[in-house]
Amino acid sequence: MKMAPILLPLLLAGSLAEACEGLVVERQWIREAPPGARVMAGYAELRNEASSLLVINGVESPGYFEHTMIHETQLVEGRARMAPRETLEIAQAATLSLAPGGLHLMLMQPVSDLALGAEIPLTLQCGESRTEVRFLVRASAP
Amino acid sequence: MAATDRTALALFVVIALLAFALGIHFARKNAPESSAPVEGMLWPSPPRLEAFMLDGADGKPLTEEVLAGKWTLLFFGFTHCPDVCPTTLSTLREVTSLLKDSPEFAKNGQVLFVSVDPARDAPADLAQYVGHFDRSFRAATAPPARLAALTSQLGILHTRVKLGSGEDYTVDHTASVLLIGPGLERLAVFSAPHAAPDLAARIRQIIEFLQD
Repeated sequence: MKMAPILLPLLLAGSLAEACEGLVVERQWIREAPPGARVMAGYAELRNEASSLLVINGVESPGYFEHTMIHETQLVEGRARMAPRETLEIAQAATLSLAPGGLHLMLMQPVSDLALGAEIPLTLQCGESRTEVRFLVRASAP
Repeated sequence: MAATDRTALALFVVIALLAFALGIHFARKNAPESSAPVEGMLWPSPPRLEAFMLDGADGKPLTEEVLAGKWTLLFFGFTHCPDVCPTTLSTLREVTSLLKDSPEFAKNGQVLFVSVDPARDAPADLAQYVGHFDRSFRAATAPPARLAALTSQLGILHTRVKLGSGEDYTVDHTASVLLIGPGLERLAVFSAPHAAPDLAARIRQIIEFLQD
C-alpha cells in the first residue's frame, strides 16, 4: 500500500507522453478491405502548425494491427513499387498528403476483420512524442 | 495581253480556286470522322492473346475462352497489396458502374483480376477478395509457369521484394489496366494512376469506334 502513491504517478507519466508538436491530422481514413485481408492502408492529411520541422518516425496500433509501417507507392514506368519509409518530414506550415497511389500507412495483420464505420486508433510517433488519432474505416476518401 | 485573254485568265483562276476550295470542303466532309482522340494506347492492328490457362476463383479453369466475346478489363495484382490493388479494383467498380449506359459493355463487359502471387493467393481466396469489390468480378491465378504464359504475352512484370528481415514480402508489379476485345485483341493499355470517369470515357470511345 505504501507503493501505491509512487506507482500511480509513474504509471500516469508513462501514458501522458507529449503529443507531436504542431501535428494536425485531418481527413483520416482506412480503406475498408475484403474479409480476411491481411493488410490495409491508412490515409490522411498531415499538417504541421509548429514553427519547426515535424518528423514522424513511426506508427503503431497495438490491439488492432500486429505490424504497421509507413510506405510509399511509386509508379515507375507503369510498375507499382512499394517502398518503406523511415520517416515523414513535414516543413512548418506545410501539409503532407497520404493518399491512394502515394504515401500511406501500411497496416498489417488486422487482429480482426474491421467493419465499415469502425474507428481505429492509430498512434503516430515523432521521436519521444506521440499523437493518437482515430481513423474511420470507409469505402472511399472523405 | 488582250483584254479577253486577261478576262479568260481571271475566270480560269477564279474557277480553279473555287474548284480547289470545294474539293477541300468535300474531302473533309467525306473523310471518315476520325474518332475523338483516344489516349492510352490503341494499337491499329491489335495483336491477339494466345492460349493460356489459369485457375479461376470459381474453381474452374480460366482460359482465353472466358475472354472470347467479351470486353475484358484485366488487372494484375495480389491480395497482400494495401494500396494500389484495392484502389484500382475500387476504380474498376466505379468504371463498370459508369459504363452501364453503354449497352455493349453492360451486356458483354467484365473485369478480371489476376494474382501474380500464387504462393499466398489461392483461387478460393481470390473469390472472397474480388467479391468484396463487385460480385461479378472474375479472378484467377496460376503457378509460375502457367502464369508466365499470360504475363509474358502482355509484358506484365512482377517481382517479389522482401519486407524487413523475415518471410514477409511485397510484389512490385505492372499497375496498368488492359482492355481485351471480344476477338481476344489486345486493344489498349491504361497506365496508372486511373480516374474512373476518364477510364470509362475512353473505353466507351474505343467500343463505339470499333463497332462502327
